[in-house]
Amino acid sequence: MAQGPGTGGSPRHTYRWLLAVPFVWQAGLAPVVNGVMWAPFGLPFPMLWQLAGIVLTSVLIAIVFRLDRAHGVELEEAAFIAATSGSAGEPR
Amino acid sequence: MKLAIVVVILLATLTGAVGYGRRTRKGHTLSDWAVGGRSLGAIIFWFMNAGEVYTTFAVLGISGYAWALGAPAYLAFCSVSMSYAIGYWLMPKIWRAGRTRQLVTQADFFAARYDATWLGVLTGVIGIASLIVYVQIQLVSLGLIVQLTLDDLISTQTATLIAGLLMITFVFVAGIRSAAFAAGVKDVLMIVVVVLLSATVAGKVGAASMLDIFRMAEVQHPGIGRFPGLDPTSPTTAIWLMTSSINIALGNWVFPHLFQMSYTAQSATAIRRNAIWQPLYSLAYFFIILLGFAALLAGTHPPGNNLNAALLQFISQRYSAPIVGLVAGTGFLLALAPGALLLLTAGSIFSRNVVAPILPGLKDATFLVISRGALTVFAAIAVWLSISQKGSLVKILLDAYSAIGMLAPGVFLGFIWKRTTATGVLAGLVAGFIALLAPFAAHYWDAVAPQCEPGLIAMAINAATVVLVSLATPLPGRHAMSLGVALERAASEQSTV
Repeated sequence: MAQGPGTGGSPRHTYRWLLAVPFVWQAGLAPVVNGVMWAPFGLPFPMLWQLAGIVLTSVLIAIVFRLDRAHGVELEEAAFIAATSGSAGEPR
Repeated sequence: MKLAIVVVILLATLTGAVGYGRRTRKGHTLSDWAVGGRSLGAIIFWFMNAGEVYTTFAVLGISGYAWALGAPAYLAFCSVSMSYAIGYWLMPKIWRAGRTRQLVTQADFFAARYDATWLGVLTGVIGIASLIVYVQIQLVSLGLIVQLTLDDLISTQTATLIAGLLMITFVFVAGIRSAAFAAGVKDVLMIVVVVLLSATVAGKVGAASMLDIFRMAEVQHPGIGRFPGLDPTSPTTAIWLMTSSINIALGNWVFPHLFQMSYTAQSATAIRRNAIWQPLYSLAYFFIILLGFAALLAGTHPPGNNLNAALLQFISQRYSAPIVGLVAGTGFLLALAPGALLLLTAGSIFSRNVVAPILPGLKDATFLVISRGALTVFAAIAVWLSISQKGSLVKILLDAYSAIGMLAPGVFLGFIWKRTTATGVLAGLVAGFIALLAPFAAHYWDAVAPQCEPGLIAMAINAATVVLVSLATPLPGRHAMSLGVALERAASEQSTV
């Protein structure tokens, strides 16, 4: 199956830990940025921080998507779909 | 005028939805009905996911939180992006399990992964309970919108009752594909409404520009833009945001209707590509929070200081009748379409995972009757809950996430640790629910960690119990384990050899 940091500890998917960065940015650092008084464009900094976190999440997921493709995840999936499409409708 | 617009929007959508449902119905198998024949491509899959972004919770709940508390409304900004960071990794696993064993519901997964039909029954019941709480969110909102449309001529109770009847009628007339169609219409209308309101809101509250609203709010209510918000004594600190958002992200894909959504995709690549773009859609919550702040600046006082009604009250006082009608009509769809999907999911789980294992050999037609009867009862329970419980939509949502979060350890550990057993999951559920619901536990968390989301604490206790008990109980069969954790890597060998 070769997916995710947790599956069998496959070292070639360590880049998927990038998906943990939004948790650090949006949740972990929330108490830290809460004290920043700077308000660019008149917007409260903690709010801008969260907005930036959303954009960052999309960028990171896109990077992981590219890396997954480079590591053959899509090919493996295509093979899985081909292997299981014959049995559609029947429990295996 | 207002009422006329609402009626036109509702009738037009319903006609379109029913027509669409009749035209596109291909098969009559349960798999075609419940998981779209596992054939949804990238575009429809995008719309199904996006439909979960603009919800009554987001529009009324978050604007109400912005109005009453300020910064705590930022919780909305974390909910979607963090959920998809996890979803990118988790949803393809759910999809693969569904495809391998032809699973239809979430309870199917539990029964198959842990080789225990009884665990399917139990998790099915817990899933239904959390879905009912989620329906409650839609009903509370729908009740408010009914009141707005009828100029507060009727009581909250009557409005909620009407809302419940409307929802059941919608389910019976429309069906699942029609509900998905109505959800699409609702999304388009919602974007129109948000653009219309946000573009004109500065003038309504005497601000120079949209961004000026945030500056004015900070001047009038210092501290509104950071945690804990307007009320310095509120427990909604940055720690509250941290624990609540993690609890939402971990619980999100464990909701039965969202778990099932992963089954519907044509390919895992469609799921992963969708996860790239979906977070950006949640930037739109900026405008919802903007409207909440504007309502505060306008000195809006919703009846009974009900924060869920703040946005509707603001709109009905400051905008013209046609716009109020458009908002009300959109609001009806906003609650009806997801509510219908939730009730349908709950009904099918009940017949497939609770009744079928107990009474084997029932006919398909009987199942349909049982499903419909059950979802009517579930809607009635949700109405009763909506009337008897008072609270903000955000609070109800967090309660729903705490309840469904109890199934999260069984899902996550099922995919990453082959040693996880059915008995372990059961023990985790018992320990988790005691930590979540027992009065002594609630008092204890409140005293020790008032800013922490209790659901997250209970989830951690649940997960630790699952691990300990699993270590002491025998492994499930190899066939069952392989559903969660790759044992032979059979599929990958085929592709690489």
